[in-house]
Amino acid sequence: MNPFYFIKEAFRGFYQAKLMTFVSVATIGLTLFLLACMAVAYLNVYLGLRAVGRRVAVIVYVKDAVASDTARLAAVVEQVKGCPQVASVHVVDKKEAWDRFKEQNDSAMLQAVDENPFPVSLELSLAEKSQSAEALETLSRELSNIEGVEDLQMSRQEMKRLERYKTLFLIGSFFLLVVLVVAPIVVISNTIKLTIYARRELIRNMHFVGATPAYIKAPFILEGMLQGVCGGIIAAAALLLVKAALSHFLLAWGPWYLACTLFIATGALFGCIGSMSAVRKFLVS
Amino acid sequence: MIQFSHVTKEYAGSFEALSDVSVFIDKGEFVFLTGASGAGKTTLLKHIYMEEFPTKGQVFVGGYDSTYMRSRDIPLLRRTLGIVFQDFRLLSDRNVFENVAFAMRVTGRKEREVKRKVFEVLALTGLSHKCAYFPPQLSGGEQQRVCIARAIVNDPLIILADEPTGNLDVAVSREIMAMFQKINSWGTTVIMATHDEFLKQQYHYREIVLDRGVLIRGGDITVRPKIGRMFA
Repeated sequence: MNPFYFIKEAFRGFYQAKLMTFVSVATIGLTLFLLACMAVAYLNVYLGLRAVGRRVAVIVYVKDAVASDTARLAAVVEQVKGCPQVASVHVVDKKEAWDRFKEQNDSAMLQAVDENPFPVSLELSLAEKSQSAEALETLSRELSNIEGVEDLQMSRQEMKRLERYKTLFLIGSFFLLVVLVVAPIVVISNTIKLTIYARRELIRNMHFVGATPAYIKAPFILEGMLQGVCGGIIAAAALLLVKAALSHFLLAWGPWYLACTLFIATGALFGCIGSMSAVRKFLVS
Repeated sequence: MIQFSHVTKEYAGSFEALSDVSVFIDKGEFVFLTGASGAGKTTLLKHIYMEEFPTKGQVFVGGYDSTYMRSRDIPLLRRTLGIVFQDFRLLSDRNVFENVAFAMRVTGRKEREVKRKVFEVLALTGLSHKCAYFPPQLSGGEQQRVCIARAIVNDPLIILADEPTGNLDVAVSREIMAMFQKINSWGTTVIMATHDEFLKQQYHYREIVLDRGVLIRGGDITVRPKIGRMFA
């Protein structure tokens, strides 16, 4: 078989159905671009949510009697570190707590106070997998059982809200993903159907002169893949333009060289699936 | 070469396009397939290139048996046939050369061989000087000659012609007939469906006569060889 024949026939299809090919390539370009925007948005929102999740710290206030005894304080810290939900522990001694308060508030407020009223506290950051309201609840129970713990401060509401946002974002992304994957496949499939219709006489003749089904189908599948690749190149170019335009926003872009390659490969895959679906339905021998 | 053994073809609604037809056509024969419109000529031809399969009975073409035919064998059978249609069925967006060449290309021949053979058959059909023309630029007779060139380019064993002179005047029909005779003289079997009385009177070949799907006469030669599984 002559591969140039298939390539020539594929480009002939481009030429014969110019408008539909344009619509098809533009749709693939647009959908892949939107997929990329979605991926960038997802990456940034994910990083943002993770940063917020890290900020939701748990503060453990230690009883004064325990805090004044270095050995007992160390034992409490060890026990807290032993909780699987805890990633790290920072001990805020009385002086640091005083300094922080002075920084954040009017120091005149403290002029009437003779001695440092702030307790020693432990600021905990949570492990990635424990950034949920449920894990926070368990941690709360475990910390309350530690001897020497005076009180706990944790933002359960904030954690719940964060979880809700994550879920909503994931559901929204999923539906958008389905639309963005299905749309180009349907458009390519329809374009190839039109091409098949335009070349029905050729196909009929091919059957009569003994062409195998694979030989008849190959140019159409190649044409669909070419449309996909063109769409992928357009999407990659658009993404690079947007990246250049939004560079001062310090967004995370992920491995964008890989993304551009993926666009072209995904476009080819979409094209292949779309054209195979059209060929299977419309190329009856 | 070709045998129809008690072939019946029924379409939806119990309409019988062929009814218990038995025909034998020997290698190198030239036969006319005649009958009025709707007699079953085209259906019979379609059974030879296996676009249709019998509801009852068997069709043997060369080494192929309709009963045991697999879909992947159909292209291989058709490569041994050349088919000529009344309405030409040429590709209007390709020139004469391309119209003939594509029939060879689909069989996977090398491009060099394609070019050599296409020019050879265009010379035989007297179309070498019009190889760059597109079908709409050609007369009816010339278009039919392109069809014939396309049909013979793969050196077929059998030529099937479905009313090849139906759209042509008498003079051009004679030219086309002369061409089929020449092809037949090389040993190629020619089966021509026609209802052209002039042709039947001018050329005294065996006539297979059909009427509403029933074989009226001309189905058998005097000694009909037995064809069985040895062909399959």
